[in-house]
Amino acid sequence: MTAPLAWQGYILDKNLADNQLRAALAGNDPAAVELIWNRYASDLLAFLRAVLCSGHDAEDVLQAVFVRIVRKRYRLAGARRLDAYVYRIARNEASRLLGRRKRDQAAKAMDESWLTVPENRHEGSDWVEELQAALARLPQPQREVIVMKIYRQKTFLEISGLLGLSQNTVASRYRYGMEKLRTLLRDLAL
Amino acid sequence: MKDNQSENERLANLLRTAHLSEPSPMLKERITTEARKTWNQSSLELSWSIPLRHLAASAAAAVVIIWLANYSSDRALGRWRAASIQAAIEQSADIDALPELPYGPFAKRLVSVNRRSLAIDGSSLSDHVAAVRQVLDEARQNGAPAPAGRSRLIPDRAGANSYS
Repeated sequence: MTAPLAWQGYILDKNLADNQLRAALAGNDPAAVELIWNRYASDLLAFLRAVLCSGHDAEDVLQAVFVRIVRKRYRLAGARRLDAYVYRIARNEASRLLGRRKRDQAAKAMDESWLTVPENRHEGSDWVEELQAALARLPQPQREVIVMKIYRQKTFLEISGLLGLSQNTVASRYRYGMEKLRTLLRDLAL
Repeated sequence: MKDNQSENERLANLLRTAHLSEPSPMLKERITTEARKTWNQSSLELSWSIPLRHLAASAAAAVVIIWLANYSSDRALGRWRAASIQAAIEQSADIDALPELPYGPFAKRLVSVNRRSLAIDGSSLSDHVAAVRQVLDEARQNGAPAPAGRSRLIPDRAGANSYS
């Protein structure tokens, strides 16, 4: 009984925050920047890290995303789903960077650390690097879903709404991704 | 199936032992400052570009509406003209065949005469032309010049009276 209530509460909070943000955007109020940051920055940064496999690139792209959101604020205010619109901007900006990377043939930043070791663990960061390397070897769509599900605690329903996919697609991407990770990490701990 | 699920759970737990760090305050400062700067710049741009866009959109809408109005009126008028010509050709001079009119017999007669005059009657026209040609032939045979200032085709007052 508590789960539906919690879900309803989440939806109500989300709608309230959406309306507040829409009003600020439509009213050309710069305070909207802060609202967008509080609502989306953490999730977007995680998403971008998953897409780009790089902490620095994710931060740069996050900045580009915010600039793009500000430029398109009137469109964002009228969007049917604010979060989906924001994620589409993030995805487009990330794709642009990936395209540039491909064109420039620059050294890939995949060996850069974007997962962090919790402070209470002292075994060293080798296993984190292995996790990172395994995640980096997954296809991007599967990696996106796994990161959003595991590191941002999103449900399949939420992820499907954010990425504009069906729930089944999201679930199968998660399942296939996990299977692949299992084979990649067989020697690590499983 | 169950094995897969439990293995997935174990893997998920393993993945959760690492974590993704939250955006740092420095990053927040950098990005929000940049976003605010863009906001202010674009506000200045938008202050004149939005009314201009509205004006352009209104003008485009007006052009489309006028074009549509012209187009639809042309179509409607074209159909109406075709129908009226057809009606004039097929117009019967028979007064009894006229549709019911809310007027007396005199008005009905007037309407029928008007309708008859609108209709192009080929046979009466050719009769008229034949009559004119006959009068001209007679005049040529007689060799009598027409009185100055008057046409022989038009009967004079006395002649007009003699018709009755």
